[in-house]
Amino acid sequence: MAIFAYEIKNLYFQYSTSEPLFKGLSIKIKEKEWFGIIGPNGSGKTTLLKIMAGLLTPQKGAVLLFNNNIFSLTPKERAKIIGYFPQENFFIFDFTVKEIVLMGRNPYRKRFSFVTKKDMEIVEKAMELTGTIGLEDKKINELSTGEKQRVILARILAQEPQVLLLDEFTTHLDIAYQIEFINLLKRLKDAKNLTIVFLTHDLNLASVACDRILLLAKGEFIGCDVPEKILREDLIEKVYKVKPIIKTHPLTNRPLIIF
Amino acid sequence: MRKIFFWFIFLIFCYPSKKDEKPKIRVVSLVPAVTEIIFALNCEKYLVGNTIYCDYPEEAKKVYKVGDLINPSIERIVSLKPTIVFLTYPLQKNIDEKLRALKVNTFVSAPKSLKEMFEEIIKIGEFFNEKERAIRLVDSLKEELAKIKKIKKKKRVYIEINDTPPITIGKNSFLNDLLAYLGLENIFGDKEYEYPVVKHEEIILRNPDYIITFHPQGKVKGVISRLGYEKVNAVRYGKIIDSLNPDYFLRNSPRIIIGAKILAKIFENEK
Amino acid sequence: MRNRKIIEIISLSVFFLLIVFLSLFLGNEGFFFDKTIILNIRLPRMILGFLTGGALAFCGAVLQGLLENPLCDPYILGIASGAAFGVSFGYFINRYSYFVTPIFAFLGAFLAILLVYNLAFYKGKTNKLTLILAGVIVSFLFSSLTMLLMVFSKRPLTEIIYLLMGNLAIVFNKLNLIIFIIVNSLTIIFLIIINSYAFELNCFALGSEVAESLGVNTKKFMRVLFFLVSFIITVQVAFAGAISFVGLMVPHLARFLFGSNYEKVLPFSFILGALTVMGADVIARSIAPVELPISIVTTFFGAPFFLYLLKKNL
Repeated sequence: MAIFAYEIKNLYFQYSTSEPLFKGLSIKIKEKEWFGIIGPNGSGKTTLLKIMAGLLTPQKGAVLLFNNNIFSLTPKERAKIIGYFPQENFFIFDFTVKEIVLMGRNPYRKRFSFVTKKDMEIVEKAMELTGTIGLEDKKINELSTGEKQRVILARILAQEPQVLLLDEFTTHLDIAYQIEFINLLKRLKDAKNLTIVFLTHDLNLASVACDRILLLAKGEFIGCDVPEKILREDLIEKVYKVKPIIKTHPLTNRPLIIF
Repeated sequence: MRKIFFWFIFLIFCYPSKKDEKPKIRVVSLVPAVTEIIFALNCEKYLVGNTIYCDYPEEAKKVYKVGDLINPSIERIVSLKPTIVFLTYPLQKNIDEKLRALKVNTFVSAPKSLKEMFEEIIKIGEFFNEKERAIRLVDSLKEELAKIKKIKKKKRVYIEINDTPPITIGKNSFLNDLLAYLGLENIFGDKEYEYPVVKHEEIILRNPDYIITFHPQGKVKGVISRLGYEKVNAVRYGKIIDSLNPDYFLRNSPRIIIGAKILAKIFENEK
Repeated sequence: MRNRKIIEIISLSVFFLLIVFLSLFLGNEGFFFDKTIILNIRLPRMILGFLTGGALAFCGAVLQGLLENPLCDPYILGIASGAAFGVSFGYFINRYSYFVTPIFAFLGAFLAILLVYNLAFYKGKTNKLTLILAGVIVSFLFSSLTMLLMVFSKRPLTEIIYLLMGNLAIVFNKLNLIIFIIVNSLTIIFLIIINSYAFELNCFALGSEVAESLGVNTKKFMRVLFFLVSFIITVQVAFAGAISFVGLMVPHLARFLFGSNYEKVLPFSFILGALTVMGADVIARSIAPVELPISIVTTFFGAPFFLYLLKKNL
C-alpha cells in the first residue's frame, strides 16, 4: 500500500475578492514522488502550494499530510515536515548566510535555550549539501541569485523535512544553475527519501524531472498524470492557448515541447 | 572594574554634605514680578537664584540663573539650598510639587486682585524680616494709586495677551482689578480664569471701544486686517494701542503703578 | 573573533562607567559631590534614563522586525499620542498633580493601544500593513483630540509640549515611586521574555509567510509581542515623555556594529540605547542655564552621527 504524502479531498478555495480557484479539487501525491504543477498565470498554482504548506486555509475540503489533517498541526509540527521555498525572497535586514540557514532549525528549538551542537551540525551538513559552506559569514544581499537560492535551499534542508514545496525557484537562474539545481534536488531526494512538489513555468523541465504532473487552468482541473499523458498537444493548446509541437527528447525519452 | 564602581558609591555616602557658612535667608525667585518686589524691598542680598526672564532691575540679570519659567532646573534650585522658593500658580504647580517632595519650602504668588497683591508684598517682606519696610512700600504704592485721576466715562477695553488662540485677562487677575479701579471696563471681566482663552467671534460680539495688545502679533496693522473686525468700535475709531510695555501691566510688581499712570494718561484725553 | 568580543565588552563597560560617573557627578559648575542632590535628583534621573533609553531602543528593534520595516519607531503604534492625550485630559479636568500625571498618561496610552488592537487584529486577520496603518490612524486621532483639548481649554496648556519632547527630571514621592518600581519590574521581565523570542524574531524578519513555514505561530507571536512591547513603551512614555530618535536609530547602530541577528541586536540595542539617553541627559542638563528637552539633544547629536554612519555604509 503506497503511503500518500498528500491527500487533497474536494478542495474549494477562493480569495475574498475574486472567483473560486478550486471547485472540488482532489489529488493524491505519493511519498517519494516528484510531483510537478504547471499551468498558466493565475491558474492557482502558488495558491495550491501555499494551501499544501498550511499557509492558507481553504473554505472547504481536507488536506491530509501523511494522514494528518494539516490544519490541526501546529506550525512547528508542520515545519518539521514541510520545507517551503517561496517564490519571492526579499531580505530587508542583512543577515549572514549562516544565520539564515540556522533559522531552519526554529521548529526544533525550545524556549530559553541556546543553539545546540546538533543544530550546528545539521546546519553544516545542509550547507555542505548545497555547496554553500564557503559563504558562511557573507551577508545575504551580497550573494548572486544562484547563491541566494542555494542558501534558501540549505535553510529548508536544515528543517530536516520530508516534503519540499518549491515555488518556481528556477525563474531567476540561468540554464547552468537550473540544471545544477535539478540534479542537486534529485540527489537529495534519493538520499533523504524526499517528496518534492514543484511549480514551474518551464514545461520541459517539468517533463524531465517529474514523475507526475498536475495541469491547472483557472479554476479547472485539467489532468494529473505522467508527463506523456499530460504534455499533449490538445491539452497544452487548450490551457495555454498556443499550439505546441510535441517531440520526444532524444536522451530522456520524455516529451519535448517546442513552441 | 566593579570594585572601583562600588568604591565610588561608598565614598559618596561617607562624604559629608557641605556645611552652611552662608547667610540664614536664601531665596530663589521663579517669578519675575517677585524678583522685582525683592529688589524693591532692598533684600536682593538674600536672592541666590532667579530665572532668565527676571530682568528688572538691571542687577536682577546678574543673579544666578536656574532656568526658564516652565522647566527650570530642579537640581540648580536645590543645590542653592534655599530657605524659600517663590513660584506662581498654575504655571509652576508641577515644580511646586517636586520641590515640596524634596523638602524645599515654597511660597505661591498668585494674587487675584490689587488687594491680594499688596498683601503678598507684605508677606514677602515678612520672609526677610522686613515687614515694616514692606508696609511702607505698600503704603507708598497705595498713595500713588490714589493720586491717579479716575477715568470719567466707562470705556470698554479688550486686553490681548496672545493671538492664536486669543488670550485675555479675566475675573481673577490683578490687572482686571486695576482696570476696574481706574474706571475702565474689561469686556471679559466676567470670565473665570486669570488668563482665559477666548474666540474672535466673542471679541467682535462684545465690541470693545479700545484694544490694547501686549504681543508681537498685535500690531495695529495686524489687528485691523483681522476678518470680521471691521465692525468693532476700536477698529472703526482707530483706538488700538500696541506700543505699551507688558511688564508694566502683566507683572504683579510695584511697576504696575507706572502702568496705571500710563493708562490714566491715555484715557485722560479721551472723550 | 574572540579578541574582538573582548574589546567590544571592555569598551562598552568603560563607556557605561564613564556615563554613570558623569550622570551622577557632573553638575553645572563641574564636578561636585553632594549627597542629597545625587541621591534625590541625579540618581532617579540616571535610572530613568537607563531604563527608558534601553527599553525604547529594544522595542524599536523589535517593532522593526515585527513589522518588517526599518523605519519603525516605538511611537508608531500611537502610544505617545495616546499618552499626550491622557495627560491633556487630566489637565483639562484640572487633575494635574505632577505625581498623578503618569497615571493619566497610562490611561491615554491604554486607550490608544486598545483602539489599535481592535483595528489591526480584528477578525483574526493579522497583517503588518494593517498594524502600521492602525497605529498611524490612532496617532493622528489622538493628536487632533489633544489639539482639540488645547483649543477648548480655558487656560493654555503649555506644559504638554515638555511631555511631548521628553523630560527625565523625575522626582519621587511615595506614590509614584511605588508605581515606578512595579511597572518597571514588569518591564524588565517582559524584556527578558521578548529576548527569548529573538530567534523567532529573526525568522519573522524574513517575512511572515516564511516565518510561518519555519514553524513560527505568526498570529500568536504578533499578538504576544504587540502586547508586551506596547506595555513597555507605555511605561516609558508615562514617566519620561516621548524621547524621539532613540527607538528608531539605535537599533540600526546595533545592527551596524553587531549584524542583524536579533539575539545580538536586542541586548545591544538596550545597552546602546541606555547609554545614548543617559549621555544625552548629561548634555541636556549641563549645557545652558535652561534645561533642554532631551529629544532636542538626541536628535541634534544623533542625526549627523547617523548621516555619517549612512555614508560609511554606502
